[in-house]
Amino acid sequence: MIKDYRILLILSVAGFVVFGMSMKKALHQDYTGHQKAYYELLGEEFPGTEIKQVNVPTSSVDMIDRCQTCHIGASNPDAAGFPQPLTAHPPIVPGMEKDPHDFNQIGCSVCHDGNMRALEKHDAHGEFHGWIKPMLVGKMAQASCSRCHAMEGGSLAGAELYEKGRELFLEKACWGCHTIAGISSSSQAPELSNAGGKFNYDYLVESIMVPKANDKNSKMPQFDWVHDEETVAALATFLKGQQKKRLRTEDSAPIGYIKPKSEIASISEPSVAAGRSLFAGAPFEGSIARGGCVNCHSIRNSDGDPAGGSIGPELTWSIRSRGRTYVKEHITNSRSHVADSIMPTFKDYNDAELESLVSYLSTLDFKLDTKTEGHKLYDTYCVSCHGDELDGEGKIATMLDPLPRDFSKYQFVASYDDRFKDSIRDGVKGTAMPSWKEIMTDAQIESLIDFIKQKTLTGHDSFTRMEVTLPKIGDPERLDYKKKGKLLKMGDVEHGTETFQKFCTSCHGKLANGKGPNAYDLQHPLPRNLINKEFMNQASVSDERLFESILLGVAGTPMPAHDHLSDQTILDIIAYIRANTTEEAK
Amino acid sequence: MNELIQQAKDFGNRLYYSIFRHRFDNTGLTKSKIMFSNVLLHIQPVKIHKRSVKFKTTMGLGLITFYLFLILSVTGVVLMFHYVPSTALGPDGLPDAYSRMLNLRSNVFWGGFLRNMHRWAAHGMVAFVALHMLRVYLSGAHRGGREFNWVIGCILGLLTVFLSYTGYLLPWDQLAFWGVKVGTEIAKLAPGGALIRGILLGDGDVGSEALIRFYVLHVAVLPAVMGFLIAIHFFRIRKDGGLARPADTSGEKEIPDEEFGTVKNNSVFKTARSYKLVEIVKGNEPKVNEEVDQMMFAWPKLIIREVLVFVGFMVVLSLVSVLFDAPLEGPADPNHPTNPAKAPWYFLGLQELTSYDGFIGGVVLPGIMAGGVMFLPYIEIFMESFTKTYRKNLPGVWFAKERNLENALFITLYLVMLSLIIIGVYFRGANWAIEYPWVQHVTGGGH
Repeated sequence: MIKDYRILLILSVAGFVVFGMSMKKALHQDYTGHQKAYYELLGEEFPGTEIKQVNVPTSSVDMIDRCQTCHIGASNPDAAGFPQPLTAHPPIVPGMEKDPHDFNQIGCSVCHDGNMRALEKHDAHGEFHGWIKPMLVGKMAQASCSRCHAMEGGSLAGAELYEKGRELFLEKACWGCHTIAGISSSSQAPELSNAGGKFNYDYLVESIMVPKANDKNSKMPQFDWVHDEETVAALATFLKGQQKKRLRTEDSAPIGYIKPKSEIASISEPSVAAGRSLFAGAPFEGSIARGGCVNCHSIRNSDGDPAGGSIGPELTWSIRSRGRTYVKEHITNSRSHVADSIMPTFKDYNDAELESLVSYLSTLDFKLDTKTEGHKLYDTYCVSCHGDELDGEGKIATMLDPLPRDFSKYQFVASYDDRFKDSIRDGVKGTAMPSWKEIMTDAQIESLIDFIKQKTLTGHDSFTRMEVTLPKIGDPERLDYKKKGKLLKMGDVEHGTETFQKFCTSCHGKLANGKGPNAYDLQHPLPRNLINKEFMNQASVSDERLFESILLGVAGTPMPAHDHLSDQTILDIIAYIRANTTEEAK
Repeated sequence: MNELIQQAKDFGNRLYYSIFRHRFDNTGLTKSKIMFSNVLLHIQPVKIHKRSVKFKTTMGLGLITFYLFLILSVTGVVLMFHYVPSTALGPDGLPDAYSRMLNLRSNVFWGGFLRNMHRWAAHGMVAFVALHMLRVYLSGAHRGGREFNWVIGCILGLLTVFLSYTGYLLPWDQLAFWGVKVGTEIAKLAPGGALIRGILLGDGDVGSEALIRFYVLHVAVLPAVMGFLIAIHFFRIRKDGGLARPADTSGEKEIPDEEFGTVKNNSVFKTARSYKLVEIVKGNEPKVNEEVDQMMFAWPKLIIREVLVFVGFMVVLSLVSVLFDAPLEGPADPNHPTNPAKAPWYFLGLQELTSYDGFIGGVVLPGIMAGGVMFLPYIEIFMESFTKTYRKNLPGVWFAKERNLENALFITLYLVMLSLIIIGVYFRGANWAIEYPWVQHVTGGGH
């Protein structure tokens, strides 16, 4: 019994100790210590603990700001050399005698966010999981200027990082895909007009640096410059500043800022120099140019050294292989020629700007010596798309649709001699494959083909593709094998549609655009987009080729043989495919 | 003068006896009086079996569960002074309910501690209910006339979970919102679940109506029902003759008499310790004249032990509340689901099952489990009656050999649920994909 009393006594003592601990936690908070240290540094007598609260009424919310309970020296110039959190805030507007921002009026969280009512560091800085507005540290706070100040088209003294981000947004061609009201209009990628209101700073940084972090299907390229912390920080600060919800209305915005005219360069006279600055996203005659092609596309100088991004195809030969009109049309609407291109549409360019760009691209004249060997030719002209291993997985391949030909599937290389040569000479319409006849001589093309054949065919047995010919309509010599020897008729579109929906849609999709549900699981190459008009209507895609491909399948691809279909049915399917891509369709 | 002192003494005595009706001496009569003249103590018998105060008999689990209910009631009432069940946006642009949570943490003196205490006690109560059930089952204490009390206990257990769950929504942060959302989505799968869900939420989705309904359920309806059922639960233990024990305990080691203090025998029948008059009552009520040597007065030993458990548990709980802060995330945002969205831990086993198959995992299995466990004693009786395999029933004996099969099955059930919960809590990441807790991932998530 005595033992029980003893245990009870010990536990009671422990209870009081824990109770004391909880009281101490509630009573003794960090700010008391900070305030004592502050007055000691100042050499003044400690006047007692005080919770310093600033109530900031704004048009939308009343902010309760208690940050200066710890950051007690924020507006005291004498506290300039003090350690954090006691130190004075550095001047915000450069060159002003007295900074117009009075922290006793506006508090801290107006610019720096955080959980402003809290008094514990971790809590107040908004470092707990899921807090909507984690603290914006240091220069990141420049994202908040636009909450009160109007900044459209103007620059604000002291917001250099934000301003730099704004320039980068244009220079790095972000504007090509993303809309920010007043700066760009593009429907290629999510709108960013309220990026800062929706997302926190860290998320923005992550999205720039690792675009696939949240959505692995994201088409946003990972740019070469993302490892440059300063660039990313500037961009993220600019994006964080894009907030629809403002603390001041336009009328009540604090004055005292300069609001110059728009600084975006307007080019009215075409010139190579203007084209160069558009291409590079570099300032033209002192103003920012809306360009930045170089972020995705690379070019070569006369010595053959490449420079630029590796997201889109190299543009050194674009004018020579495509022609000026094609390039212009491709810039204003990339899908006019390549049905599945992911290149943004730059429809806002005026004629002078387009002409400048094309003129600049025309100045690129690099080509290899006529005596160059196949290997070297491949490494210069082909490798960025078709890959080092000739497997169609070059560094820009993932951004292309349809994917570049995979030569390592030797059956293809072995099967089509003429088609192979023609494709290189004249290009493949509706795809990223340009025509090389202006850049390579026929002899060079031959040696290139030799190189590819030698690389891919060695070690494989010879492959002979079965030959079939397109059956003639109504030919009594060539009856339908399957359908009890009936005479073949013209393909029937209606029946073709039915059969296509039955047998083909799982890969080629209901719309025949090559995006069927199974296409997502397929490897290189992906199902053909059968409504790509440019591609389907070129000479090499004949009815015979379609017939052959459907009946026998395509060697080296996931396209299987369909020899269970009758000849008539295949003709019907071809009729359906053709009906989709001819002019009178719809 | 003497007369005055006498009068004062007389007054003092009358005052004393108007409050206490007994003295505090060591006689058996007094010890009895202390117990039955006090409303708080009389729920317990005057004399109890000695094994009742042994740690191994109950491990204090049921008692701790009850204490948790008391602690939760007290802290809960204090928290009610600070809480508003409203999603309306306050002047600071945050929902009122959430804003009050921030206030508790940074503006209300001792508020953080109180909230921690309430939070951890709520989680603890669910855990201790489970442990208490395990103890009862493994020591066979659900049999021998106590079958219906087991059913009531199971209902109490479900109420505990439901109380904890309704409370989970009240902070109105992302954790609360999506945790509750997941739970109510599981409810949708059950037949008639959509209707119950609609009644609970008062809306098609978790929103302001759901908050006020959960609040009223949490602070008024469920605690009242629970208090009533707890009374029945305790009363039936009394009427079933105290804690379950084997019919014959003469073989068990006795606690020496000095362990519970001396008893002065001032009875006129010096040699007999009895209350034979009670014998005329039939039933399971306190056994009379059985194992007299094994019986002892409840005062003070039992009461001290109970206080001991209480103080000990309070120390642990307060320490946990000082050291660990209750989680609070950003304000609830129906447009931005957390990934993964996890229900509170005691539902994560369910959520894990649901992730394999919605209907089977979310409705059928849990239904079978809850129903099966609740009616377990009757299932046992049914099997025994119809297969004629009468087993020797040994209530109050841990891991009785005769019950090895039942015990093994019950432990397996617990282990399966526990592993599912552990998988759900620690091994599930974004998109409910398997993710090891020690692997750091890219943060993701916009908020």
